[in-house]
Amino acid sequence: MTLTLLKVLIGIVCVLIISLWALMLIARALRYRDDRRHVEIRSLLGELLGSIATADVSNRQAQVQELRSLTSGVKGRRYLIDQLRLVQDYFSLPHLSSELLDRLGIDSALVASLHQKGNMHRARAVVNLYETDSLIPEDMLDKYIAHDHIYLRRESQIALIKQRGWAALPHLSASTRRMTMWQQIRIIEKLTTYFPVAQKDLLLEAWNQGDESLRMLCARLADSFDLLPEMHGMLLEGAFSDDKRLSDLCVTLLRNLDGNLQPESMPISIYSAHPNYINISKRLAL
Amino acid sequence: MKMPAENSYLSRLNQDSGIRMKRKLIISDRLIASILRRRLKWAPGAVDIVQHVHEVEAKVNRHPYDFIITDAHVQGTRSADHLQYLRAQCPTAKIIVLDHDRGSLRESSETLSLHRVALPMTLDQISDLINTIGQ
Amino acid sequence: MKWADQIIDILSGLFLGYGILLALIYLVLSILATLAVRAHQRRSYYVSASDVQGSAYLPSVSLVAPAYNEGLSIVTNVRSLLAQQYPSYQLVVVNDGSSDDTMSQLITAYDLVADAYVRDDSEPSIETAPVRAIYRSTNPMYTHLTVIDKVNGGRADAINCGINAASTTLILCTDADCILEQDAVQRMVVPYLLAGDRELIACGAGIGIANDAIVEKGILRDLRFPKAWIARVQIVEYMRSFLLGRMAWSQVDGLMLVSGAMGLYPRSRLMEVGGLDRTTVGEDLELCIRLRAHMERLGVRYDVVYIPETLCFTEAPSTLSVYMTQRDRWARGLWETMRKHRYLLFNSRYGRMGWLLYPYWLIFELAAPIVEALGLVFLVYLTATARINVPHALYLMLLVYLLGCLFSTYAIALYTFKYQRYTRWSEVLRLLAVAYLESMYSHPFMLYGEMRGYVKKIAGVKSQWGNMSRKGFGSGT
Repeated sequence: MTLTLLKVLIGIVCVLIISLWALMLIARALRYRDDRRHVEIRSLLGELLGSIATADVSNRQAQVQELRSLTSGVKGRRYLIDQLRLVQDYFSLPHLSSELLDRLGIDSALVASLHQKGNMHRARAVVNLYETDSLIPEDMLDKYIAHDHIYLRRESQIALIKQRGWAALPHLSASTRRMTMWQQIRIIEKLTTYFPVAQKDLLLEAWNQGDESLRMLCARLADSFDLLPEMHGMLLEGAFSDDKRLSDLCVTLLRNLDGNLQPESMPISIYSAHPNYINISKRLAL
Repeated sequence: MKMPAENSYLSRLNQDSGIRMKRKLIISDRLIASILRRRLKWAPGAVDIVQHVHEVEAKVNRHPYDFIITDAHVQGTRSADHLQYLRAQCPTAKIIVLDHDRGSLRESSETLSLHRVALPMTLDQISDLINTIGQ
Repeated sequence: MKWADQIIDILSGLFLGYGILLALIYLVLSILATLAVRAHQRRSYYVSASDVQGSAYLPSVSLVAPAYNEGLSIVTNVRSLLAQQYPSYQLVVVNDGSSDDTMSQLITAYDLVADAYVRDDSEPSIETAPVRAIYRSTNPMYTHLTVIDKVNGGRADAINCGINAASTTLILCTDADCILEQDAVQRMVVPYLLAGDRELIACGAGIGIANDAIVEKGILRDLRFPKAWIARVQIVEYMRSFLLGRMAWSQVDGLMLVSGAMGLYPRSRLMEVGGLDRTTVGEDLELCIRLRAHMERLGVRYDVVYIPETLCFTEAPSTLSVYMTQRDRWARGLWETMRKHRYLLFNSRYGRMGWLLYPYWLIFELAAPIVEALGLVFLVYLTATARINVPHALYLMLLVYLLGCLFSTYAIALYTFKYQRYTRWSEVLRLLAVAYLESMYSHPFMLYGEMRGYVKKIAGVKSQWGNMSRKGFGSGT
């Protein structure tokens, strides 16, 4: 009995090992096929983007059609979008890429993905839409910015900023989850790139929502847009926050103000009852 | 390393006829390089395209390039080392550095007499700029 | 003799039970590792380190690299550590009282001059062996390099000295003999940027073997397959340990070890716990456990994260004697750490650390070589007294061997699919061959090294690092 069991177990393990070898072979073959397809996609994309001027995609129907057939699957579509994002890193071609995406049917496929069941699919669609400068229905973004799924929530918040700019900032407090530093950096990048004129009132409105991570974002935005000298009252409030990360950030930013701010202009005495008053005053060197 | 046919042809042409054709090199991702080449209307035979530091060394050691467009950062080396190497190997070449402004390359560009192009910019802008520098 | 038979039956049952449990644990870990790798890949889709590369808000990082008698490769290796693509980092190399020309080579190669060393008594600092001098480079290319020359105090002491000197948010502990990928810091920082409600207290990454690799100007140019068999064995060992073991544990928030060669920590937390423990040779494991215990006591939610990509390459022992010395040291480090933190065992104050992680490490990491050695003795006894059922024993041994091959094959498959190294068929086949021969070639020496380490601990021999001779990396032609 035991011997038979041992033999069966040995057989199972052998089958598993052989299956792994087979899987390695299959994966290799699939990768080879994908690589070839990628070369074709890149070549067609290079040809299209290199030879045509803005909005001239219509003259290249045959190539567009070929590219469309190569990118009809999820993998192909994903690869094309990755390549377009790479190109956008070098060259600004918003109209051309959105027209190309439209003609390739990728825009509509991505918008359709927003309605899919899987949150991961939706999140990916959100990223791809905002990274290719396509519009996302605002009602969807409003729904997703407080979603439980971390990626969907995070990417929708970035997309909202990309579409609505500063006006979307106060709405980010809809989520009760903490905003990560990565997300804050991405939001700052979108605002500085697409909405370079700071809107102080909206920044203050967002600050007044009271959410710590949103306040961290506001403090960093104030720094990025050179608003610190006029908004030091806000930072001082942050320095006395119970949230250690917010407090540390505000103290650092206030310290960076150095010569731009005189101790007498800092209304620190209003926090004299705070338990950390002495410690924070010392750190602020006031 | 076996040379591509068009390069061998160009080399022979240069040697046999005494006419020196302008030789160009683009060091970047192949897709980016191919878009640039087409946009600049450079014939495929007149341009070499490479993207890894190994390929750069193999090419630069063999051919005297007149015009080089390169990414600031090339896979397998440091930006500063890469630019220094290019300048040392091609002292008279016009070198254009495509910089995403992620490194502090301003100083080294000036020291090495390189043309730094801050990205991203439109394809028309970049091709105009490269044509102007190339003249 | 009935009682003797009964004892033999009980012992056989215990050994068998231990083996079955271990095999099941590896199976579960493999499944968890697969999930973790998948999750990591999904995350990578949304989080590309290059997306935030230009930001002014990236946390500052200090690479702290202790060096002891590294004259053979110090200049190359420091060049590698200086080649990081990260906007805000400093490199702190700590010469831990080397008796060779490490310091003079550094001074010459990097134009170092001694800087006035003023210890700021108002800032908290970790106690270390005396610092002789702090050097900075006069070459504008190396402004972010600091070299500390100090009296010898061991690796942990040298890192503590580097932590004191660093003024950054994060500390990346590495070794001066490591070659890092150019974007290693950038990628290591990503989990810190992604930390939301839970604070990141430690982040590790995969370590690769770079014996016989070609390194040029501090950059890994060609990762060749090592010539020495023992180094090849360690490639498979690392794949199994990093990809299956650590990824799996990180998936269930149970990572207790971040490698000393590549570990990122917030400086503030390192200062709170007093840096690395100078009294153990397993300082990386000890630090991770102490940090976790500290956070449990504070009641702050935290994460220890592992990145599956290989970001750091090191030279592995290339002879059996050095390999045994290394395993001897690891075993002693494990023993010391488990002993030091024995208060964790079934201590409900430390949650899963007390009830799951510490007992696992005790039973399946610390005790594994002991059980194996005892098992071998038991097997010899049974054979000698003709109490063994030969067919059963042979089939059982074959099964155990095949299970080992299965997990190794899985680790190799996962690694070569996902991480684009050793992808040539010839390399995959050689890796498989090494994996299938490992248990007959290197495993007995590993077991001997580990048992030697334990015996030293039991006999009360003072822990030392032991001689770890290195050849240095090859340079390109």
